[in-house]
Amino acid sequence: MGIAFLEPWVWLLAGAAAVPIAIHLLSRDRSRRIRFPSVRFLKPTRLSAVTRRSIQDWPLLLLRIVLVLVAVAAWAGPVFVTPARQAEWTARVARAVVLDDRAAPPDDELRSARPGGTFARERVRDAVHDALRWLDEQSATTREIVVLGAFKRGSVDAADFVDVPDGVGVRLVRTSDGGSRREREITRLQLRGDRVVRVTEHLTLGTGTTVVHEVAAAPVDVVPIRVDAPAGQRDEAEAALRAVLRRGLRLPPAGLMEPIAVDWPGDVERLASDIETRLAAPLDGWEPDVMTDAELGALARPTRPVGAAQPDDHGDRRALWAFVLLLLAVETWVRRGRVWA
Amino acid sequence: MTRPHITTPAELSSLRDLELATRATVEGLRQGLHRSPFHGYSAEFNQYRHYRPGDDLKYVDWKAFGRTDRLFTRQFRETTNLSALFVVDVSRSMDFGDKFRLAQSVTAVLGTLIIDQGDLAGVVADGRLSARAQSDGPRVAGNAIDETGVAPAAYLPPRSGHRQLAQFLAIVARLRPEGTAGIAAGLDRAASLLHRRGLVVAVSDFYDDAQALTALRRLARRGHEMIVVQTLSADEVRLSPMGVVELVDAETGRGVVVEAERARADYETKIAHWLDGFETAVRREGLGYVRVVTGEPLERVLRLFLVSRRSAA
Repeated sequence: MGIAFLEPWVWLLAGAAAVPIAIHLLSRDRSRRIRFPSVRFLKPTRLSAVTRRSIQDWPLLLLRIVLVLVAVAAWAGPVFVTPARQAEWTARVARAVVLDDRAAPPDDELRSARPGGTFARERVRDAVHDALRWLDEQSATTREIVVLGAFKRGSVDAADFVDVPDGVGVRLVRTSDGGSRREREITRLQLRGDRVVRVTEHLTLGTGTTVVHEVAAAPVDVVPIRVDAPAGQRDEAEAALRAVLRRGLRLPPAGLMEPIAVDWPGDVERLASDIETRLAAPLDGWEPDVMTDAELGALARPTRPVGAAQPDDHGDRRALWAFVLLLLAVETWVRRGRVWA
Repeated sequence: MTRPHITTPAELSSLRDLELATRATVEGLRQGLHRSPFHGYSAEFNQYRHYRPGDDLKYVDWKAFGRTDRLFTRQFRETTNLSALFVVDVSRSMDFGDKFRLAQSVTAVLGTLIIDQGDLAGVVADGRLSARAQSDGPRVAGNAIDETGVAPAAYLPPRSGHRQLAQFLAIVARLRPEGTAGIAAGLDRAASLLHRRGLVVAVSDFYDDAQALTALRRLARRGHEMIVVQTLSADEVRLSPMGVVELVDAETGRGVVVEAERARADYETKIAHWLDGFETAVRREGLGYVRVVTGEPLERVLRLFLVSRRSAA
């Protein structure tokens, strides 16, 4: 079992232990006056200078020095580190919460009233730095940073956590989808049976799921795509086009304004690619604008205890102050015994 | 001017403390002694004289008539009880630790023993008794309050009875060691107050031993039986370790700077020698002597003394 101190700087006052010694030596020059029944049997003692500066009452002086030191120790916030207490400290986790503000909606109240251990800055990296400084002041050996937010794409990346030391865990917890659920309508050409139809679909894009509702399907009289092929390969090109249409071709949001023609590349896959290139269907709006769980998982770091657990608010001041009172009582008792009445 | 009859709680408390402690000690002493350690002078045989016609025949010594064929009449001294006067030293030297309280206890215990057995006891202290004690307490004969409101002496004449016991204890409880005169002055005062033979108990530390011995001898020669109770504090018999101190004489105010640890052996040798010398001198005069020191069990010390006194008688 060891002992630690919450306010070790108080030990600078331990020099006060010299006060009783000084008082003892100085008071020697002014000897106490005690009334005595009769001094007729007393022979005055010749006190040499050496004697007058020597310690006379070692037990009482030592008692007073111990009294001062124990009082200083009590003030310094002693903590007796028992195995049970050590285990309790080790099990404790210091957790700093970083809010991904850019994902969160502007909220003046949230900004102004954040409790200790919760950090938010314009950039997540700055908030993480604040959190690291706060964690350094914590006594727990297990520390982690929890980033809360919607995690819009680009709001958090590995660079934000580059200064996080080993052992300090990082968890990213999505608190909302950040408005990432989007409704989209797309139009496709698809061969269904022998007829090409123009299919309109309503897509609900979530973080990990996409729900598709077909809302309309209208037959197309003329397929607006033509494949130019040599005469000998024309049938093959037509079959390839049907195969591509059977898969479905996404049209631009504005629709296909005029027919397009592509050269027969020789196989179905290349034909599909060429047609999609020509259609140039924009990708924007297809991908969700929030980071996926996999991306967040890649940024996370494991948590493990670092160093020895330090005492925090579990000081044993009361026990030591009680000891100080006991010593005071003993000192008074001894002093009265010395001085008589 | 008559002061209102007010007794402070502290005075009441000290009186009750003294009464309780005294009663407990007296009971303990009675159980140990069985017979009274004090002897009065009642019905004490004095002499024979020839029978004269008219003499009461019950006083004729018929055994002597059988032996000598003459008639003798027995004569007795005056029938009287034991009259004890306690002289308590209230000088400042008694104000040291529990020494004066011990003197009060000894006085109260012996006085209670005497009054309880039907004899007379009184107390005299040549020192100070507070004016309040004079006005509020029992009537104290022979006291005059001076202009400062302080009585120069306290005196309760020897009487018997429960009322006397209450007054006796009240006076003793209110005594304060604030006087300037030693025990010798108190003994001289006792000598002037006592008009018939009796027991005089002197309670003091006897630092004024020369004058005290003179006064004791004077009283003894007048036929008084004397008991010398020397009360001391354990801290003046054995010098406690207290470093360098200036010890100031309580009586004279003279200060002596000593290093207690160094002076201890010499002091204790001297005071032991002085105590032995004083005891020897007192015993040589044929006076009773008992030394009581604070911290020692009072009941045991007094029992030993009273038993030895009875054996000697």
